[in-house]
Amino acid sequence: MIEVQHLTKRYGRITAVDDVSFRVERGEILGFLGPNGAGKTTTMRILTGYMPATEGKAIVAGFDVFDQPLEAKRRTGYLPETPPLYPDMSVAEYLDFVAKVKGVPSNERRERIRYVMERTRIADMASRLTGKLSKGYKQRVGLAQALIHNPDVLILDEPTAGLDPKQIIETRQLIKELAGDHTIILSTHILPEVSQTCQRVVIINKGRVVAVDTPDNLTARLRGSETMYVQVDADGADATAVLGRIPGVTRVAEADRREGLVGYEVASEQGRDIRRDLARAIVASGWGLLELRPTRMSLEEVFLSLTTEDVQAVAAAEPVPEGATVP
Amino acid sequence: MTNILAIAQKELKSYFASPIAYIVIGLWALLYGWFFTFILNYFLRQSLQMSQFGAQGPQAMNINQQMIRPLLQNVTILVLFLMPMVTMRTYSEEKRSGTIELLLTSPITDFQIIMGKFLGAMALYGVMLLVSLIHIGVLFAFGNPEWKPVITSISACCCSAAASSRSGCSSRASPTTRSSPAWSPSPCSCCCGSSPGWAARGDRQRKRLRSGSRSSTRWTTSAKASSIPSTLSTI
Repeated sequence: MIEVQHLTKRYGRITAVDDVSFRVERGEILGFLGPNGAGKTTTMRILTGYMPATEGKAIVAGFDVFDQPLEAKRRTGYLPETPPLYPDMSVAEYLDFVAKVKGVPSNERRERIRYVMERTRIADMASRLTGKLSKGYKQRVGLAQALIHNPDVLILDEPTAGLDPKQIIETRQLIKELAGDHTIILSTHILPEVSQTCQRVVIINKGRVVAVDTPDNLTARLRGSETMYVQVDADGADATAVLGRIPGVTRVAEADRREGLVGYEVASEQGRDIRRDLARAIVASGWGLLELRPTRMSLEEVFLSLTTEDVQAVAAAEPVPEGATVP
Repeated sequence: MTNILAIAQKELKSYFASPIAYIVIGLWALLYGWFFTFILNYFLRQSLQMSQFGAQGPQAMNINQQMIRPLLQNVTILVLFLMPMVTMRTYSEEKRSGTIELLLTSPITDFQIIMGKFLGAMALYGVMLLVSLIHIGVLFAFGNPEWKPVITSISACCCSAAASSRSGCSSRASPTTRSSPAWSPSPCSCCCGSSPGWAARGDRQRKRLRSGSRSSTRWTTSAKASSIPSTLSTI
């Protein structure tokens, strides 16, 4: 549905997007993840035909964005970072205007406006001025605007930014519902959002694609080895040596220490369950075992490690699962 | 076509939703009224002098040539400044509020966007023109001008307004966000700016022959009329 090939955008000497390539299949939700200034918005703007790329190719719904911009735009709905509202128009007026501009036929216009207002739950705000709406409602009107011409592709730039928790859940739910009929790209820097709504993630940093994978695979990939967290009441004694002698343990590191209780991170070979041995060794030494749990690398840590230079090298050295690209 | 009209309608609505339309129309009415009274006074004084002049009897003054022509000539200069004032915000404002992203990602061409904005500005000029037609109407009610050169002049005024609003509407090409180049009148608008006066001058010879004696007998009634536009302009 969307195919991006070697997309590059330079502003003078600054390269905002550097050789980005990815694909999105029909009906899929793709999460676009990256720190501020990573090039998310620039990529999205290129895909929507707002600005041209310096190099590369982008095909949206079967049409090249640069060669057949009108056809591509007809099939794309775009919600920019700030909803593009005219403050002196009422919600209904605004949607009518957008429907006209997007070329919705006049006999369907009323029906489409009613549908999107219902879908985004703004029907009760129809006669309010868009300039007077709260942030959450503005965002929803923005979403309604993107949906009005029933596009195949939806491009949403931080759709949940500035919403309250309830609205965030509602918006995510709405995006999931839309995924069947529409192909969606959404950008965000909220990580749980990606793991909850997206089927695939593109992590982008400094204009380059760092990884493309499913959220689960990404988490698993960086885990590499199993890590346990144990909290021990060792009466001041050092448990590192004892823990290190357990078969299968590759590394023991002190994680925290408070009021005589010491927490250790114990890494072990992959696929080997050391929990029983750990517990036995601690109890046999006469210490109190207060906590024992596996530490799972969250998507947040994956993200951080992928977007910070030094850890990136470590990640690249590890076996890369299929479908992932690490430069 | 629907989308051009939609943009034009939106533009016109946004002019009237903000104070800008009222300020511009007010300023226009005020200055137009001022020019009108000023030139009318001059015209009346001239007529009086002419009627008292010489042994050949009363001389005729041509209202088209001596009144409407200088009026529109002066007023065109106003348009030259007012229209860019109105239109210079059209793009920079969209860019500032981010709504430009909506327009540029919609399935419409740049030409359609510019046309829509241009027609919106011209519609506002149409409203301004209605205000000025009151004054011309007064001349028709109390004087006896020829209507053909007046129509030509007004359409020339429209061309001039079109040229000067163009400078704001198409300023998207300029690299600045706040489109200050809109203020610099282009050679094109300067050319058109001189046309209303030029058009009114068109058939000067013919008019002199025709409207000669009639307007001189009417001058006393036009004197009364001069107080009306001045009150109009202050509204």
